[in-house]
Amino acid sequence: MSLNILVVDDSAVTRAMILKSLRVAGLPLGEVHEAANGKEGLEQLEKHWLDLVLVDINMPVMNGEEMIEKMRQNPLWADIPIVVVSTEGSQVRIERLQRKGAKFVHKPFSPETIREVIQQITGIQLQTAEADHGPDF
Amino acid sequence: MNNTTKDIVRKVVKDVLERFAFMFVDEPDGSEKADWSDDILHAVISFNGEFRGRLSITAPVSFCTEVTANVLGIDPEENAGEMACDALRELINIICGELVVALYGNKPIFNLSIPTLDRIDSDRCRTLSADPNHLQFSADGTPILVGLSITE
Repeated sequence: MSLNILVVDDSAVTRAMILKSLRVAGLPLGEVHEAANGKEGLEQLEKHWLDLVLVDINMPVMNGEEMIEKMRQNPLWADIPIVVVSTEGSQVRIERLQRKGAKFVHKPFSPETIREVIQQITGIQLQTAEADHGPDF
Repeated sequence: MNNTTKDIVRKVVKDVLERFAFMFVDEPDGSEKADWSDDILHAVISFNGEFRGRLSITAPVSFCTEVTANVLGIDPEENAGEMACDALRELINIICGELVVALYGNKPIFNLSIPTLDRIDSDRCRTLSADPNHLQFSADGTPILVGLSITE
């Protein structure tokens, strides 16, 4: 089984880091789509069938919180697992996102952190030795 | 910037650069004059919440290229200029996120702006380095300036 994923972040470097971490973590990747803000992310959701969305919070045009809100209001997207990858430090805002069913990964992150969170949220088992010793991204 | 705030900024900058970019960071003593002859980028981000403030990072393009190479595990020669700019924006975003928590704890909500980026000349760098709200660091031997101003 492979996962079709969407990575939403206004930083091309961060999108590349996330994708590298997913590969290091041994995630079976199917289609990989990218977007630079929440609005573009929703457009990608309309075009593709996705199994997992990784999204930043602080982005121009439409931030990640608004995007998650719109996903949860749409029956087609309401159950797609969401991982927020962000510098957000406010426990209040993190808990608000968690109540919407999103998991949270704090930047800078390590491949093993991403792996653990994706295992929790998708239920799939990943096995790789490399991720256990990977650097922070 | 008072001494307590300076210590917090020092700790956060060193910690993030080590964990995010795998760079060794120290502070040069006052007698060392930094070489600002390289092409220089100046990134600014503001935060708004219980307190308002503005954080800046001033660094040569060569530093940003090294950050990009380190975080992506690629050769510095592979980096396009825009990728280096993008890495500096992401670096200041991460430092600002960590800094507001270190300064004010994890209860208040802060909104961070989208980082802006400009090219500045070496004269402006020397002016900034003399400003008491700026701290100078050496990251793997490359000078960088970090400035913070807070509106209480």
